[in-house]
Amino acid sequence: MHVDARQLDDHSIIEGDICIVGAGAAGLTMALQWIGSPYKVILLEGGGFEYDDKVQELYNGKLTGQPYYPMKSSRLHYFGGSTQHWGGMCSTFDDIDFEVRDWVKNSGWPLKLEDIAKFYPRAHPILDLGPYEYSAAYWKKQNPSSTTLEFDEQVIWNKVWQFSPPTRFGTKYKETIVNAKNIHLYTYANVVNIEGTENVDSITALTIKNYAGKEHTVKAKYFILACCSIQTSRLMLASNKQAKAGIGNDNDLVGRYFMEHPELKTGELWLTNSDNLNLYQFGNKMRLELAISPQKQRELKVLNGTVSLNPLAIARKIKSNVKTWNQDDPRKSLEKSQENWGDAQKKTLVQRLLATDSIQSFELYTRIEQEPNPDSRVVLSDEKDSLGVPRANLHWALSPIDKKTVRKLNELIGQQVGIKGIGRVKLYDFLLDESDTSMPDFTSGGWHHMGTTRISDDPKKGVVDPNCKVHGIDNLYIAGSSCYPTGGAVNPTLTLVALTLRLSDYIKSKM
Amino acid sequence: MAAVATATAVAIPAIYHSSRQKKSSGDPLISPYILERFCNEKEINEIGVGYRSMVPAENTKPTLTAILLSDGSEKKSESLSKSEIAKLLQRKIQQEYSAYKTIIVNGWVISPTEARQCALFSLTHI
Repeated sequence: MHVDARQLDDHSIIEGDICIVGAGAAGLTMALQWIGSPYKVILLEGGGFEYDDKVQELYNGKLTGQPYYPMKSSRLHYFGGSTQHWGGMCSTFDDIDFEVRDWVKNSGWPLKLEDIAKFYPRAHPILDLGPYEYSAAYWKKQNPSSTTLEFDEQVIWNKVWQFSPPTRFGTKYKETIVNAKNIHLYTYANVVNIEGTENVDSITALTIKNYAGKEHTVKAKYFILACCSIQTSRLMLASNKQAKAGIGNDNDLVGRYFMEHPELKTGELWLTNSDNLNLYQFGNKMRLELAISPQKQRELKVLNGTVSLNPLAIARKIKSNVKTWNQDDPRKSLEKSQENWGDAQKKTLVQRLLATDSIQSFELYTRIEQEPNPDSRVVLSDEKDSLGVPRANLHWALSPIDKKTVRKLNELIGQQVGIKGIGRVKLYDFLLDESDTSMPDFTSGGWHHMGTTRISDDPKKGVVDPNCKVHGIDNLYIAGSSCYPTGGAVNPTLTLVALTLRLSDYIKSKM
Repeated sequence: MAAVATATAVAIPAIYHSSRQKKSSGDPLISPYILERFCNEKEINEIGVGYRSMVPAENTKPTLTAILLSDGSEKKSESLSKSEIAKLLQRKIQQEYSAYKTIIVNGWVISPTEARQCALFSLTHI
């Protein structure tokens, strides 16, 4: 069922068994698991079913550090959340992503890949992905006319991505959620405070507000925050009436270790042949990218990362995402971003049609995990939003190993094509000075917000425990990529859906 | 989450080539056989200048020629034909790549032998 919280009597009290805050990928995945259960589930969404600029404005905040997308437009604040504008790229984490790596500060999950991977097959249909197959050999078999770049797999291997249509959760699951008798969806229900028992070892209620001037109280046995990295940590930090540093923040960790996937143009790949490398291109249900092997990560002491191949003629005309996605209004940013790609295709049409040479050229587009950095963080602003909540400011900070990883990964690809005798690689200028550890200002992110409430079995090192329960609070959980201690090299959505399924099962086992 | 912009591109042929290709001189000592397919004379020259700046000890024609023609044995190379020299250099390039013995000159990830060919080209043609 659905209730518009603006229409409720002021100071209403809403009660249920579990309360999910946020109706994006994580929140809706969680809610879907409880349909038909004997439990009353309250699902709170700050916005409505459509874009509403007044609500979106609540996400505004200031940026410092590495240039980034405007705070207001990098996430969507209505039913479906940011799935309403995501690109749909999905892949699986690797074993090494979960390991403590002595060359990567603050690395290591208290989980293994298998703990998450067993939920990937369940996550696939939620995201409308294809078969749960992530080996390049499988996809090559489905596309026998395509060629794959076969390098030494101990160095560079083919990482498979799959594309969701992309699933717009708000569109696909609206009817299901609204028609579910035990799911009580409240729109225009922005949580502005978390209230706990006297010593804050248990959560008792949430306060919700909207711009209709209404304020309500939500009570439940279990609370799950699923507002993504920035808003979840903002809410915890801003709930500081009882705990001075904020809820769950006894160890000054909430908001820290914000991570993205730095991504940027890094070089050119020139090949002497015209083999069909269609599997590396957009336009299929899947795509291959060149990934650095775990062995080389260990040997060179670098991070995980992948490189995609974009046809050079077009890629040269495409501006950096961070330079085009620069409008506060997410609709305008999206429009500019699409224009960027469309213009590049138009400008190079004649050149591409006239091309007759057998040589293929690609731009190397690198995406890496970033080293978890405590100084990369969400903090509260002195300025408050229209509902009286301090705004979130973001300081995105990178580390020297990030740049080193980009350089090494591209160099390894250059060596591999040389060994194979099939071409050469040229690195872009910003990678040439090894003593320069800064990332250029055209470094973009993938709109992948991760970290800020990281998992650790040690409360001094993480905000949530391995079951995503906030340390020291017996009924507060967090769903989503904010829990990631490290971000891997791939887009976070598939894994965050899997992690949410795991959390859902865990909470069910406790009911 | 990657925004929709990244997924709006459609499959596009990557076969595209500008007038970058260097015309082969026929002299294998100054013709890096794969690199010259992607680089025009100006770029080959720039790589050569870059290498000579990185390794000033090799900044003469005789030095570069001698190193290029050395094959690790005592065998005299003066009497080698062009095709034998070409084969020698191709073998050396392949061996260097296989040993991960590469350098980066002007951004190009290349073998030292290729860099020396460019360097000799830059001394020969400028």
